[in-house]
Amino acid sequence: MMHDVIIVGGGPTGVAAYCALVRKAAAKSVVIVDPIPAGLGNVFGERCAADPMLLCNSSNGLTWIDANDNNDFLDFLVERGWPVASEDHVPRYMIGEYCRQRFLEYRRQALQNGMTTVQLETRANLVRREAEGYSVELAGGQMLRARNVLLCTGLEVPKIPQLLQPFSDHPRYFSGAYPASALRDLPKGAHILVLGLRSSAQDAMLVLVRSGHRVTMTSPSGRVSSIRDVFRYPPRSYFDKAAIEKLDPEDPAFFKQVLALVSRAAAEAGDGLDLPEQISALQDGQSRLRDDLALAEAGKTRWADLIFEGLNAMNAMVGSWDDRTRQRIMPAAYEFTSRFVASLPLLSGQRLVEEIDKGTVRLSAVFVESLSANEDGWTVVWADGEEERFDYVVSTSGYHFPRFPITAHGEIRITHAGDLRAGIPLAEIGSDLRLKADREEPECIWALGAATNAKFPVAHLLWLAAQHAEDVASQISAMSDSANGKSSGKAEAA
Amino acid sequence: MLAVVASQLEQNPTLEAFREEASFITLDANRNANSLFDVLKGYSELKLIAADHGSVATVEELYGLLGRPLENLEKLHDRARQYALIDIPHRLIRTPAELDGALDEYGHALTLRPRRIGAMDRQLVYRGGDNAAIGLLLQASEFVACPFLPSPRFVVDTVSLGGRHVTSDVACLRVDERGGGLHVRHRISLLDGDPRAIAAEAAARQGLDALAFCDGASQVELVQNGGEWRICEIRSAPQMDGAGADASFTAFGCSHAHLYCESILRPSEFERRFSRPPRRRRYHLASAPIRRWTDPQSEGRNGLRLLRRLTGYHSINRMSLRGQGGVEYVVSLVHEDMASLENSLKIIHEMEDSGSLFGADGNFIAYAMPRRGQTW
Repeated sequence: MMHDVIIVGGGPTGVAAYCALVRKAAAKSVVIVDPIPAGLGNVFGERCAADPMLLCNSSNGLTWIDANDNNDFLDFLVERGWPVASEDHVPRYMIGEYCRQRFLEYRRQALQNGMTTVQLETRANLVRREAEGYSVELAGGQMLRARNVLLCTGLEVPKIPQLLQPFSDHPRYFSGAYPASALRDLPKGAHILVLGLRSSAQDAMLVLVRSGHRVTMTSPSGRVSSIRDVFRYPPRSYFDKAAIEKLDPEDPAFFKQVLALVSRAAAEAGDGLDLPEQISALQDGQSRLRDDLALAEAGKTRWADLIFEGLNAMNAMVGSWDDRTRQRIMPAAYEFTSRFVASLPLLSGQRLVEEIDKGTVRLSAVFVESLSANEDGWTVVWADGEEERFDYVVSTSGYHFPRFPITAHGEIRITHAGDLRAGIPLAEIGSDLRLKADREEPECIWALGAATNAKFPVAHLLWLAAQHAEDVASQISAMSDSANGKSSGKAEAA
Repeated sequence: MLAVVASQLEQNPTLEAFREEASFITLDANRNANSLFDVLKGYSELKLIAADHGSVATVEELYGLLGRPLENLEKLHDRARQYALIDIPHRLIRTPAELDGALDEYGHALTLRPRRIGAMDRQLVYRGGDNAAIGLLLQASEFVACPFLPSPRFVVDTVSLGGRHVTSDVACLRVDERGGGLHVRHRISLLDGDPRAIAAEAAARQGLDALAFCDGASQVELVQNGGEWRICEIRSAPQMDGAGADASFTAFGCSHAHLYCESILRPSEFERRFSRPPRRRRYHLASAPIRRWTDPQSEGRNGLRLLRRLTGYHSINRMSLRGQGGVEYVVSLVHEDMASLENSLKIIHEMEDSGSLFGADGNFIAYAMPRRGQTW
């Protein structure tokens, strides 16, 4: 049977795409392929988000899967009686509930409109071009056929740092903070090394400290991300868009120009408070953490109002660069993005400082030089030559983004593996999010959300996924209209 | 005189149903059986009824003290084992040597329980060697050992009249092993037409027929093992009776507890109700007992605010303390979507296990109000 659309991945991005297809009546039959019930996903479902202590890093006002309604998530919460505002952060599982609920509502609407929806609880391995449409190979070897394929695969496989790769199967090693129950159930009073300082590391720290463990946290830079007072939908635009459009990555003054733009925007957002007054200039990690916290508590971190706009501008700008330019520029921008884009909510910052003061958490300014493991635990040699014993090691190095290598037969493989051979050709993602495989003509295969990371540097954003879903559904709708001769009819009528 | 024994005298739905009707005395099942016996000694015409599953053992003990045979409360599980062909093999254990013999015979792990009715929430898992839990069991004079089957468990709630059985709910149980004991984490009902529900119902009817169970409400617990259905227990009283959402409301228009009372007090009305076919259900019900496993760090119960806004939340009811874990509340959930309910249950278990339900650190309130200077 030929379906109109196959959506590979039923997490928030897949549901956003499904809802957009229903809204635009762009398909008659949709198949969702995901082993997890649609909407719950890996990041917001039971695996990563069941513990209510784990909060969303984005506020309610920056969470939606309907690009036409920025208040969709907030409305969902308010309908359930939560007295929350757009600036609040709620437990992460609520996004899973929200996506599931919206999926069920749209599925009901689809049924009324005569659109069929099927979810297959399995995985998809590759997409093959056929004489008509595409076939998607499932994990069990079965094939599904469709005219259009949407790749909405999110984050699934955690990265393992080089240092820990020989120990990836060690029973006292955890590659990530999730599920929280795995860390919670460790024997009481353990001394645990957490590699990483960003949001997943904060999650691991909270769960471990609550369970009565002592935690040492470190990262190669030794610096915690900044702390922000609020992370909200900006009250207005602060960036000079014309100046952003004129930025040229080949210009030797590129970074200076970006910094000048950000400084101007921050001063405007800060209502006269200049950027240096909004951020800590201290170099020592712990001193800077406390300084950042004091600024956030005083409501002076107005740079936070630039994050939404800044991320969109960065994705738009970097998305138009070639690979060489991206590889040259982005590593230099990492310090900036990891400090501000991945900044901690005020409450997480307060909690971290509180635990440091209690002595349950220690931030190590030096990183690990080497480590060895036996069945009782770990011996860590720090960069300054000191040795220390730990019972367990948790690494929180983020997740591998999905990649789409092209096989020798021109098929597009779907993988989260981080160890792709160098030189293996990857499907190119066009500005319309369509993939190009082994021919010049783009395929009717789209990448959405985190699956577009090869193009957009910060692709794992719900609002970006919602926008992708809207754009792709419009394209499919237009193509469908065109195939049915509706567009010519409309043109004649016009 | 009718004496109704209940493990919780307040907010017990079964007891409430009795109160509508007859002249009777109520007895607290948590009190010592000898002191209850002193109260009952003066009555000549006496009938004892268990209002809930937790009080069945007390009733059994009282009948023993009164020197009279059991009436409604026969040792159902023993009779089931005697007659039903689909039973799980079991052994009566009196000494440590018999326990080792059972372990040799049944394999790597055993489920142990005191040999008396009402011991459902005192089941233990024994894998040989020292086990502190055995000490607790040995306080009972005899206990029963069965092979440990970690398969999914099911319960079938039925109502019977004249040997005919009608099913009011078929539910899947999640049973976890914790601290050497087996604990029911939740039950989630299956929809009509689910193949598992059909098979479980057939096996339950077979068990009830083998037992010659004719009248009243019952609950049959089963396991599915290697494609076969086996009966763990047949109960003559509702369990988790405090749960707010009860499938019997849809099927029969009243609670399972009410059916139980009605079968005893108003058999003619029970018959009329029984003669109508049960209504079909299009949504799932779930209930989860929640316990205080960890010491709370404050007295606030803010985690309950989270529960009340979970997808499918229906109600929360206080339960009596019984068994090892000491059930404190039962949360009920109702939703048409099984995946949403399962997700909500997973969150409830996480909250329970991490101690964030009962005001231990990590409750929601601290995290939901990051706005400066605002409280609610």
